[in-house]
Amino acid sequence: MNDDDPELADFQTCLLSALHQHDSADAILETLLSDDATLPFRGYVAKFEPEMLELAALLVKKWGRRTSSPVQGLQKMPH
Amino acid sequence: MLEDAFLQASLPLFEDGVVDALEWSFDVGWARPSLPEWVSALLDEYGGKGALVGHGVTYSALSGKGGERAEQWLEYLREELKVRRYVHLSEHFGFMAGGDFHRGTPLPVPLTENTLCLGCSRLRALAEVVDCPVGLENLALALSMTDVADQGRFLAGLLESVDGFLVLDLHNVYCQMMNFNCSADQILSSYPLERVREMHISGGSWMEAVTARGTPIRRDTHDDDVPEEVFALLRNALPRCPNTEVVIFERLGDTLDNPGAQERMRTDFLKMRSIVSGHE
Repeated sequence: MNDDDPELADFQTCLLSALHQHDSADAILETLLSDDATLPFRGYVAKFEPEMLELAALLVKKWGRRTSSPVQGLQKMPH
Repeated sequence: MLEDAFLQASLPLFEDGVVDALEWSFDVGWARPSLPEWVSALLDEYGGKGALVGHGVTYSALSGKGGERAEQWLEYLREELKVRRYVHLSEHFGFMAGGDFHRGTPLPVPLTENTLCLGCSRLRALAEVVDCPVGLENLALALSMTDVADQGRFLAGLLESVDGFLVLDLHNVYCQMMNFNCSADQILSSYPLERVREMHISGGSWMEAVTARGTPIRRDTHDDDVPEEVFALLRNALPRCPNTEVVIFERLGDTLDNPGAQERMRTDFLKMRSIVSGHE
């Protein structure tokens, strides 16, 4: 399977990191807007609602797990 | 459903023969060396009689990078399908993996020509592995009204690429109704309802925080009783989704740790069943 979208992948990595790192919408947005990875998606980001961003941050902190190996991530799953 | 509390709560329903179908999140099982005996027995029984549907949670169909992770997930699925037979198999709209995050919760993705193409490619890869219909569940979380407004069109485009089906999660619809001040009709009319083969109902919870509109935020936590509004959505949606084959009741097993919660869960399940039976 070689169907990757590097631009989208970079944006998603930046979004996940910001949501994992911060609690407040202001801090999340500041991180997103200071990263060139979000440039192609600035119009989308501009519409984010602060309360929904903070909910997403809570969910990523609860369920998100970083692993060195992508396959290892599949072997440890929430339920 | 792996918890003993889930078994205690649901056993009377199984004994009474009122559970017509079972949904199994097969990739949850991949993490375990073995499943509890009663879980395996249920999966074997329902799989054997053609009443088991599969629902993956970690494929991350709309991740910008699939790579080794997606390939491995599909390989695990090939192995899974050697063991169990599913009537159909679904996953979630959205992405959870990116960078070194390899598990998480599904998040929305902007609808563009590129993201639609990417998602179609991932769905086709999934469809090539299985010998049954494949589908996607609508997402509860939206980061803006744009996500709410675009999800139906996005799902329609994705599902068309594999002639797939929609898992219409009614509590997810309810979350978006509450969080974005939308009507059920606004959301449902944007979805490809002719593609619904499966529905989900569940309960959830409220956050203390409020939206800019001053309303509390609804979360899809599967940890409480089903609100009357979600039963009303079920009554509303069933006649609009003529190809519905199964309605699944979702509840986290570890939230059923007392007899009262277990009793209310059974009551909700039977109410769901009565609504579905009354519609048929």
